[in-house]
Amino acid sequence: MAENVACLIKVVDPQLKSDEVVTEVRYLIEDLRDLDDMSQVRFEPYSEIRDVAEIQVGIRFEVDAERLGSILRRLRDRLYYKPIPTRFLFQISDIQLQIETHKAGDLTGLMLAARSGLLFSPVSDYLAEAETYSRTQGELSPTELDNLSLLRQRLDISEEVAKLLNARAAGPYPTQAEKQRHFDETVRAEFSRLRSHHDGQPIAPKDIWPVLQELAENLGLPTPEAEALYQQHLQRYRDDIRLKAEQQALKAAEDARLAGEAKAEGDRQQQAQQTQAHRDQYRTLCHQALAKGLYPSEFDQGRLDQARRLRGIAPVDAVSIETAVRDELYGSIDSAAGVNYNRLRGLLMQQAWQAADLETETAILKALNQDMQPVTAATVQRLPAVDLATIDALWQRYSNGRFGFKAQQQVYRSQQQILQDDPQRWLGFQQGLGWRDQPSWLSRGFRPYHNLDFSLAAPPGHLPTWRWCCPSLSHRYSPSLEVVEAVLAHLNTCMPLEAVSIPTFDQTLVVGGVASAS
Amino acid sequence: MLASNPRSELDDSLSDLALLLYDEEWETADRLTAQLLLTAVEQSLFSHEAPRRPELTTETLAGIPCQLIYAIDQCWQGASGGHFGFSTQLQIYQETLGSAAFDPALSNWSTPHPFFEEVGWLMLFPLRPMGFLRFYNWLEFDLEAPRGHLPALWYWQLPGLASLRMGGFFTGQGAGFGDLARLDVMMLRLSRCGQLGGGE
Repeated sequence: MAENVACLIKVVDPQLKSDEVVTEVRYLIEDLRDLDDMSQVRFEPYSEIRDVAEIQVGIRFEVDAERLGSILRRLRDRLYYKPIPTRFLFQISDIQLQIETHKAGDLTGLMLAARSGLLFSPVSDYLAEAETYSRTQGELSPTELDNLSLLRQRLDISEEVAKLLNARAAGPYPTQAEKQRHFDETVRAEFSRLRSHHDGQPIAPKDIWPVLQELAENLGLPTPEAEALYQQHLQRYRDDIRLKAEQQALKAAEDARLAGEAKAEGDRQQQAQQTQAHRDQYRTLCHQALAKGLYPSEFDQGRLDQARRLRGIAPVDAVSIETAVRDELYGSIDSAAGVNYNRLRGLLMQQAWQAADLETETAILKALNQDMQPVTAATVQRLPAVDLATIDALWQRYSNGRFGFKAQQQVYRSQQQILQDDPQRWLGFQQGLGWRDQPSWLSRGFRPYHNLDFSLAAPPGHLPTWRWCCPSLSHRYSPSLEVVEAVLAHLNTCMPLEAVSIPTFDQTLVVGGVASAS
Repeated sequence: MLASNPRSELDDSLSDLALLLYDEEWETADRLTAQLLLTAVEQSLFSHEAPRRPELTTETLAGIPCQLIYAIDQCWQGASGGHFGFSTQLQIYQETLGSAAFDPALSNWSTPHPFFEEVGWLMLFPLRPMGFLRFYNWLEFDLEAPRGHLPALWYWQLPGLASLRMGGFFTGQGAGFGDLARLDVMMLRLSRCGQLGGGE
């Protein structure tokens, strides 16, 4: 492609004076001569009659077509700095190209074509047209294709070459959709770079727009569309930044809240610990105050009240602590039937055995809740195990294990091992407890209730009596055998004795023993 | 137990009793008192036993509702200013138990229970100065009578056979020895009901 191009460059600004025009032309020549390999080029002056005198308004020269690109660039730069309306005329073989402009941008397209070396040939003409079309809408529309087809025929270019040229004009992304997609991807990549670089800190994304605009130009994507895409991404980016900021604010608030809660929880725990410590102190004090008796002395009561107020313990809590301590010191008074065993405990503490026995009856009849009627074989099972255990524990505690239901059960078991038939056993049981004397020909051995032994010297299991299952007492104290059996069975259910291996007895010995005993 | 149905009937009887006592009809009131107790026994029998003639025995006395005892006692106490009534009798009984050296195991012809003497139920009969009780219609039905003298018919009303065994002749408790077991059952019942704290 070593064709020569004839160029004519002429200043056409009507506002410039003659001498200014001459100066401009001289600068132009100097500028062009500065370019590489241009020293040999001969610049012929182009003169015109103006204001009577003939002045030089332009230059004419001939260069190798390959130089055209750099010449155009220099010319463009000149226009960029000093936009003087200028007429450019290029002639290559029989094609003339004439441009009259003062804008640098108009030379850009020409420059690209020149650089590709295709300017001023049928092929380059065609390509220029195709590229212009491609640039306007980003792709070749059917009408444009039609136009190009006509141009191809006029320029006498083969269809295959035209196809190649079309593809070249369209660039690597032939349709607008593809251009958009590519641009979109690039913009996205750009913004993701921004995101990763400026984590958390929003930056002015204006900085990237000029480069992107250049990319759009290079791609042949119309600027408004490119800008719309860019704005879209920008909006998303800003939204992201804002969202992130909001999330961070939320997270900070949440963190603050959690920290507050943790602190509150800590405070609560500390307070709970303190309360517990206070309660423990109060409990210790209760221990000291109750060590001397069931109830604190007046002096100790005063100290307790003071301590309670000092440590901020609620009266209800104080009472429950005191009750717990009292139970611990003097035996629990649990009841499943709502009976208060406090009085019984007090009486047993005072070793008031007879009064305690009477109180035991009252408590049991109340626990039975049968209109204070004596316990029968049918009703005994309604006595709650808890209440029986409480009564037993209290009697046992204050008699050093001598009295109580357990002691009575033990007596019964020992009798059971010795004696054979039931009547004998019951008799033996009652005699063992000291509830009945040896029957004689004169009496059947019954003892009236008030003749029983209400002291620690009484036989084991003598107390509490089972007066609560007797309709009558003064005439004689004798629970009916049927009831005794039922009561023992119930006791065995409620508080079974530890298993003991029953020794086997020699039959004859046992019979003989019983015979001699009765 | 008081059944719910004859509740109003019982209320009527109790107000009758209160009226009689207010009018100082002591004997009639005493008979009504015994009748009230018998009715209660009858009701408790009906619930779980074959119907038979109600009697105030050791067994049945032990089951008389506390509420009824309390109501009757309130009537007597109120009308007599604490002179008559179950609680007065119980109080005397408990005092005598504590004071007297009395052996219930012995047969009691020589030494009657001090309670009988205290409430004036003993026959003051020169020929037989022993522990026999008066005939019922020899009792004193006025406020001049000793403390705890009334109500008395609940104790006198005995089946014929029991009367004979006690030394009477189909006269209930009259002219017989006092039946200590029955007395004690009633007193024990009164004392147990007293633990309920009175009334409901």
